[in-house]
Amino acid sequence: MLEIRHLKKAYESATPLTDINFTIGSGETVSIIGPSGTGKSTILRCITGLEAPTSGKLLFNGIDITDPKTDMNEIRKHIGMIFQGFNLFPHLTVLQNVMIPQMDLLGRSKQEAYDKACELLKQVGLFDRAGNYPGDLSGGQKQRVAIARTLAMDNDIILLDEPTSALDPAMVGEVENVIHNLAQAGKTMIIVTHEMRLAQKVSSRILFVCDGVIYEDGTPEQIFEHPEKEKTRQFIFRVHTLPIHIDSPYFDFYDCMTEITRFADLHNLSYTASESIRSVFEELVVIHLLPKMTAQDTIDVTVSCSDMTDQITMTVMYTGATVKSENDLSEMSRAIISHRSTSVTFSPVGENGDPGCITVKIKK
Amino acid sequence: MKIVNIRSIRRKAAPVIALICMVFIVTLLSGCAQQHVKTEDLKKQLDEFITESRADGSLDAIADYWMTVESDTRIPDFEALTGENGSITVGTKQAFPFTYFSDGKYTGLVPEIIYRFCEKYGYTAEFMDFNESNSIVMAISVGKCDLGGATISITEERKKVVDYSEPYFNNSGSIIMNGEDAESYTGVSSLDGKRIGVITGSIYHDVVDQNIRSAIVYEYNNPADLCLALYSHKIDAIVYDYAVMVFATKNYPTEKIVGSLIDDDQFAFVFPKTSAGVTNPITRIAQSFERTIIRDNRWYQILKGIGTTLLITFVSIVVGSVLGFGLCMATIGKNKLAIKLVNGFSWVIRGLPTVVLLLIMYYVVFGSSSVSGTLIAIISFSLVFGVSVCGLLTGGIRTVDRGQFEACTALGYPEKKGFYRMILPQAIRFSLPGYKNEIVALIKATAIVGYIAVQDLTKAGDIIRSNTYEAFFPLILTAVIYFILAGALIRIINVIQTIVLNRNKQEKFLKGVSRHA
Repeated sequence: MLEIRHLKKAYESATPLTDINFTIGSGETVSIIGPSGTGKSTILRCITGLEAPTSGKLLFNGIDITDPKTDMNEIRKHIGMIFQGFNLFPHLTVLQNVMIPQMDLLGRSKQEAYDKACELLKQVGLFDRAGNYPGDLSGGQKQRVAIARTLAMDNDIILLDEPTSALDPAMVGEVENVIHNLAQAGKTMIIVTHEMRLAQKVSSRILFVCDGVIYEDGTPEQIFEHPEKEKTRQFIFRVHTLPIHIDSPYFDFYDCMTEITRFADLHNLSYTASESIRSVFEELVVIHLLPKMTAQDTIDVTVSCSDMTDQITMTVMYTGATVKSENDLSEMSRAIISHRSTSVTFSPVGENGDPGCITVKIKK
Repeated sequence: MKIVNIRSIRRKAAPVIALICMVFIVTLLSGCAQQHVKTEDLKKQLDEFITESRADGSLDAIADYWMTVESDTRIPDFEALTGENGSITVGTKQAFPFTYFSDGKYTGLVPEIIYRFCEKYGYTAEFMDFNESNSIVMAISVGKCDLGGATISITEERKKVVDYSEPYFNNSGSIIMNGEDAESYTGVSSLDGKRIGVITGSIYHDVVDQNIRSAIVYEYNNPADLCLALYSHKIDAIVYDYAVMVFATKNYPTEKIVGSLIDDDQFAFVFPKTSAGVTNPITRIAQSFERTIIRDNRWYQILKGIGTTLLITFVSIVVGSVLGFGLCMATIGKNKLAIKLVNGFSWVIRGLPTVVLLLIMYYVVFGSSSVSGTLIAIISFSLVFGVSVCGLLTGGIRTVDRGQFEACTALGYPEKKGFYRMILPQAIRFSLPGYKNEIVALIKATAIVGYIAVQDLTKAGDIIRSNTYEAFFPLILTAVIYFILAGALIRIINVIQTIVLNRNKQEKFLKGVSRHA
């Protein structure tokens, strides 16, 4: 039904989308997730024509909607959009909000529009609010009315742009349920969201957008439980990393310690955990690797922690000096490291120059 | 229930009661013994001085000099006065050659008489400048000035409110016509049915009414405006003081004095009434009421004035609103030239004081046409109101949330349809408070149409004030009437607003639809 080819959107200061490609068939419910600012909403806005792509082709039921000659108003009657800010018409009642676009744009009679509106308001559970104005409603109720208004237009596909982002947690559930019911009824939808729970619950397919492309594409199980690519993993498990690059024996040790402390504070690691990281770093890098380092050698340390697991991982990649196993470490170092960590793995420098790698899983 | 009703009645009646009290107090105060110990003596001295000067011919000599003055040679040296008997303040108004400035100093026939008087009786003099005789009278009755000296004619009616000195100048009312009309003037009867210009509130309105059949009288505020109006064919003839017009017409060589309508007018100085007269405030208010409203069917003039004010206001509102809507649509359109034109036009209209715009319309844009002043006033106010409405509506549209536009687009509304159906109703709702303010401002702004000789409520009040020299009653009355008119206007607008805003009422909307549950 919908085909996006090489969609690119560039602004003066940034290019959030570089090469977006995907296809959606009838009946699919696709969620688009990804870090903030990656242009997820922009994809939806390009589909409905609120923004124009810098380059690329968008085909809706075979019609090229990027062609300036296309009558977008006609196309838009087949594409519905739900906004983060609801955008109900404040000067009309709930019933009028759902009825009037039908009458104006689809030419339905008042009776037809009324019947349809009542049916849909009942479906979203707001029939008893038909006479209220949007100002009287809560956020969740407004969004449900917005959904009813869109459904009344009998669209082929509905685009939902962060439908629950403006709602406080108590109201998210009611909207989620409505969306879930729509998905089960076979409605074709694209949902942009950063609520993982919603995406997992209602979608048949997840698109992870990162670095301007569709980074990974799969079923909810695939993406949420076994993400393949690193960045996807980091996003799903909310992994935070601190890279430290050392290319001289005289690097600023104290500055490095401060960086680690700041990283730990930023991600709410306990004092003990923070201490552990610094301790392990000191033992491994400063005491053992650094003295054996020459001017051409480098050491790259990556500290990563996840909001979702108890894991803190420190990966040390080094060239030059070699530490084959824990036996190459002093007894005191061994004791300290094993006290602070759950496992340590060594992989020495290879013959062909591959850097060595020590991975330490630090206790939180 | 009963208690609530009394309270709400009291609330509504409060402003009216406050107004009545205000009228009462002001009239009371205006009659308070602003007794100047000086006034009786001063008047006696001035009368004495004038009588003597007339007897020894010096008064005539002064008159002769000033009536033929070419260059300013005689500037009284007020600094030189010794003033051992005190100082007097003289209210006056600029009218060549009676009072005018030369080299920053007061000079003219009136300052010269005052100078000689002060010299003889040991006073120093200060002058206060006013725009019109009414203001002079008000000033002397509250004590800002000790006496008034200007081209003020003696009338029986005014004697009830001020004391006149001995007349100091004999005046006649000249008829002035322009160009060809002046050549072909055959007599007073040829002025029948013609448009005659006079000065607001002078004796000449009545004089013309009495002597020229079916004359249409236009009242202007100063001799310069009179001459300009005659020159621009707004009026066919001027009737005003010979002594002033003989000089005023020098600026317009085509304008000539062709005759005189009255010969026995006299100017005198005015003093506040010393005889306390009636001190009973109720009677005094009743007298003021009679003079202002009953006598000469002045209530009818007031009524006509109200009609003119309302006419100008209503038509300007309607035309201005339509114009404003059109300008706004141009502003939000895509035609860059149209936007530039509208912005430039708004800038010009907003930059001019409305009075200046009105005068330019009257004397320049419609300069030589005989379009009526009322129509010109309507056009001017429509322009001003239209520009305001444009600004309000544009602001209202900008206030509409951007999301509304996106919702319309996303639903599939074509740009224009979405705008008129969804955006404009919201924009109008935002603009309504400002719109109501503009309407009230408009009805008050129309008070300036007197400048172009349109007789609205304010002008009617001005004329009555000049005829009666009643300072406060006509003024307060005018204010109260404006207050009531503005209030009524707001009530009407509120009713219209309720009707319009309730058009979306669900019940009416669902008429004819068979309901569920």
